[in-house]
Amino acid sequence: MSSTKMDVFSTRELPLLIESFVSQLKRGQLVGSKTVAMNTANLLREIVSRSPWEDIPSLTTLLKAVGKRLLRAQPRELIIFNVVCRVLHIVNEDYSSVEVVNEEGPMSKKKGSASGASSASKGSETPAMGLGQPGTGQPRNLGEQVSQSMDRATLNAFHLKSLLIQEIMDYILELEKTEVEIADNAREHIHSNEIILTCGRSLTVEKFLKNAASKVKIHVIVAECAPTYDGHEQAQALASANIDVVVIPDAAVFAIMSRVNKVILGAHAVLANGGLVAASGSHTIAAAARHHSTQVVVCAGLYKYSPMFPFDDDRFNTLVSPDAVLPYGDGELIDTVDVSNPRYDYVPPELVDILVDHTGGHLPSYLYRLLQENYAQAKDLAWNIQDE
Amino acid sequence: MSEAKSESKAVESSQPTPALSAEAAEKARLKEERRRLKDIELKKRGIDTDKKDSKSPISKAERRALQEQQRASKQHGAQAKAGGSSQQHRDGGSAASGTRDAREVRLDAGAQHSASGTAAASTTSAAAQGKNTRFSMANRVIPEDKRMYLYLHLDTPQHPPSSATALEVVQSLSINNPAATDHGAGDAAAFAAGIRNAEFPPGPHVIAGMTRDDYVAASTGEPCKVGIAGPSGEPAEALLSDAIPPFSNGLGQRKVAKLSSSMMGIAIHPRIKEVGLRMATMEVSGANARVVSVLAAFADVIADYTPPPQTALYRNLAPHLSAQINFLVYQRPMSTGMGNAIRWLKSQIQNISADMNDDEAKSKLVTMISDYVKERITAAGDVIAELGVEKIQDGDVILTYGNSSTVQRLLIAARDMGRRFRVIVVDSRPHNDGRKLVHKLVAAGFSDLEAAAATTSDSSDMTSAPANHSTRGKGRGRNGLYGGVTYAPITALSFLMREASKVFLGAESFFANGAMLSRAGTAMVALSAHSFHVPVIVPCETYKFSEKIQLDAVVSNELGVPDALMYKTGVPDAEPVGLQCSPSLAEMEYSAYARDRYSARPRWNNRSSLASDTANEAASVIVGAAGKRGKGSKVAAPVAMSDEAKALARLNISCPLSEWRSTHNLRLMNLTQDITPPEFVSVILTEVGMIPTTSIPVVLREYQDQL
Repeated sequence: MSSTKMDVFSTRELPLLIESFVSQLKRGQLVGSKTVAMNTANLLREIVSRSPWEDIPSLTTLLKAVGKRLLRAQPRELIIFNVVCRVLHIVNEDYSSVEVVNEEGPMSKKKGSASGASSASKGSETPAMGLGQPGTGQPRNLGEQVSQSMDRATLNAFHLKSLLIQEIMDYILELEKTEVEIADNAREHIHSNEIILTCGRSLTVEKFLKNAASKVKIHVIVAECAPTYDGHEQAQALASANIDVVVIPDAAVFAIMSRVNKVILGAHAVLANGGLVAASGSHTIAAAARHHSTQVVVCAGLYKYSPMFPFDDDRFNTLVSPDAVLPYGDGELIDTVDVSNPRYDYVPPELVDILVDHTGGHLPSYLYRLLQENYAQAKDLAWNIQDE
Repeated sequence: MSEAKSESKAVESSQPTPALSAEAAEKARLKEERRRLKDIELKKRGIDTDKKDSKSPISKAERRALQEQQRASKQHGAQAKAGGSSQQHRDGGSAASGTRDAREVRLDAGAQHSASGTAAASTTSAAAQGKNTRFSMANRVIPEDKRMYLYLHLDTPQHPPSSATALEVVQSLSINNPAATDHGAGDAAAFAAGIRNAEFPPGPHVIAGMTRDDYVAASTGEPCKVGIAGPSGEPAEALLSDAIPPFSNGLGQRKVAKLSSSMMGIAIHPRIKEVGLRMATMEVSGANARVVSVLAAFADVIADYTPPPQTALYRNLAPHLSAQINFLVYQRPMSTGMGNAIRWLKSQIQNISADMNDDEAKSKLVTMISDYVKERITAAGDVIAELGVEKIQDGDVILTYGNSSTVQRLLIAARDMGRRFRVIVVDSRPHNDGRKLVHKLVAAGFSDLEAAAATTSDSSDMTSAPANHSTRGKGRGRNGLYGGVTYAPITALSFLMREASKVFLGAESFFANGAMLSRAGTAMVALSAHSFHVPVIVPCETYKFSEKIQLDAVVSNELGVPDALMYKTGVPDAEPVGLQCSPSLAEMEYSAYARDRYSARPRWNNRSSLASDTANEAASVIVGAAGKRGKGSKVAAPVAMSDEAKALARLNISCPLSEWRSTHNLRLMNLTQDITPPEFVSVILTEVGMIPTTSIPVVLREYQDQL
């Protein structure tokens, strides 16, 4: 639908929204995977609700166009890609479930399968359940209702729109609650009096540890994570929750590792093979843990799981300003020396023991299955976004 | 038994009789004869014992000061002697009380000596400022060290030059090893030469057995504030070793030598003070530099030492040295190399024959010290550099960590030999030593890619890339295939390790089980190299080998200054230097304990001194800011607020750990060393050849008799 694009950009607010988001991305003003995910999801919801699309294929084209625009603004931000994929997936699932319903009759496949892993394992929080809330006064399954009220020919944007918006809202809700739900798993992984090592700043890890500390006594060692020294904020945050915190320089991780019971890392993104894109320094920490046979637990929300495979480790990395590593005050050196300041590290899956998301722990090797449930049908579409 | 006999002899000889003196003269003649023979023999073996000819570089001013000092000390010696004999008379020869009194007298004499030292210092400084450029800041020890610029602001009296003998040792070091001074690779020698030119405040009079609190009080002139660490008033060290309760028993500082009663009250030589404090402030931190500076200081101590009247040098020198060592250890735990060197020195002192006269013995010891440095450190370094050069090929990408003098020397030697390779310097907090290395490498032309390209294109065989070069790092950034320097924090290790073709690491020590003790982070680099299948090559002089066995780094480690982790260096908003603030804050980028650098433990009292003036102001600023944010109304900020206070306030906001001491469950642990398991080290380059880690016990066995 070539006309669709025109339609979207003719409405006044949407281009503004998109442009402001793009410029924020380009300037690096959106920090943290959660923020990026929330913002992207909200933007896509706006697009779904405000743009005058007519049918699902046109909406898909539209979302892909926007997704491409966002990815071009920040090509290395896997989270944008994940969220776009996920929304495309939601759109697709709805569409196909409605189709199925129409073909096979009201009592056959339910839309419950649409929301994938989340609905399968954690009923109360899933989009499907959200849809069936009593306040709406609707029958349990919206797909059913839709199919009852109209046949395929009359399936129009108006009805699908509210359905989709609701679904995306649920997804956003899920995003919001991710950390808390991951943290609920803490007691399964942390025993009392354990010494836990973590590095850098991660809200997910912070909540996870605080949850654990609310029930048992733990000791946390925080590697400060040069050159941002995010670990300082993490340490401060944990200490304020009355956890015993010790800050160590990054260099001392190996030295202290023999006394550590568990390493808990956050991740910026999780790749399809189970490898991590995490704060720089994570790889050596994970390797040191492996050398001492210490378990590595990675806390990452489902939205961080990306259907991309790491063919080249550097593909997902960015080099940031060297100023923090070698101050510009060192003029003579700046002129002559190369200063590397990578923002992320690639941690291979064999160094990761467990990935914890809001549904519980998974092996890195199990990731493909989760991805299929969350992105299966959008993946092919998504590859197009990446390629062009 | 023999001791008792000689003691009684000493007591006897305090009232000399004519017969005895004749006998003594005969003995002296024999001794003189023996010494001459020995000298001849030594000369045959090429060991230069006669140091007294190479005096020329001492300036007039220094010599005058020296003479003054000697005169002063002679006078005091005489006084002490007089006092001692009168005491003895009064006590009627009771041996025990006699020695005790003698010790007291010595303490007294020491005090006077130090006072005269200060006097000499002031005269020297006057003389030096007049016409001598020797003391100019341009000749500083480690001129590229950024902390050095602070000295420009320091208005301190100059340190009196100590004995000529020690000066010669140092000079011989640099004279006999022109290679060492050439390209600054012989850090050790250069350092020793530099320390000679260093200015240093005389500081308070220090005696062994002083507690730290006493010392701090004496040096700052205020009552000690050391114990400010914990809110509950616990001393900081207790807090630290208690940092993680489950292993609080194991982790701690290395043991500080115990002060035996015989050391009490012995005066600490000013050079020892200087070296000790330099080590405490981490100004001297390399393993080699530490040993050389300590040995050079011991040469001074020995040269300046006069045994108490009527006693033998070889018996009194050892406890005298022990007191000095105790002070050093107190400043900073001893390194393995220092331990080995000191053990060696003590055994040499014991080996001095009883009938050698004091001056001979002294000059012999000083000579031996200089030989030790020459053989075991300087020459060994040369051999290692030669071995290392063989291991570097054109097109290599060498990764190294921190700043090891041996590695630095090796790399520069390889460059001078015409090898063309890239260097990646990985670095870490808190010392960022790697920057020094980068400066040296850049100065040696490593980043001069045009030159590298020119040489490589000249020789036809280098047009094709070497077989083992890493294609991944080719031409990244400013680096070429044959040159360039990359600098990165340790967190970027796995990002860069894929580019490396060889890893060179410096070691502080090797244990008998093959484990390597080195600066914290070395083990991570070695591990990373191991997992990327990059060979790890460690140049290490054999004097650093230790017979101990250590399995992990928690059992024994050195805890650094926790405050060094307090601030975020290099983060723009947290950069004290970037802000418009006074030097005292600017200093903190490079040293967390800059202002009180000369106190015994600058680490502990720094915070109070820094904060004392400004903390209240800063706190009120923060409170004010918070209030503003909270209420949205005008909570008046303090009217007059210095720039320093503003800077500190901003610093506190961007560095959340700056108030860590007031949070009882938040601690900073600055481990400074770690243990690299033997399997990570591919080969050790020593002066006895290239050996695997399993051969360390063999080498130790070979050297046993030399210890």
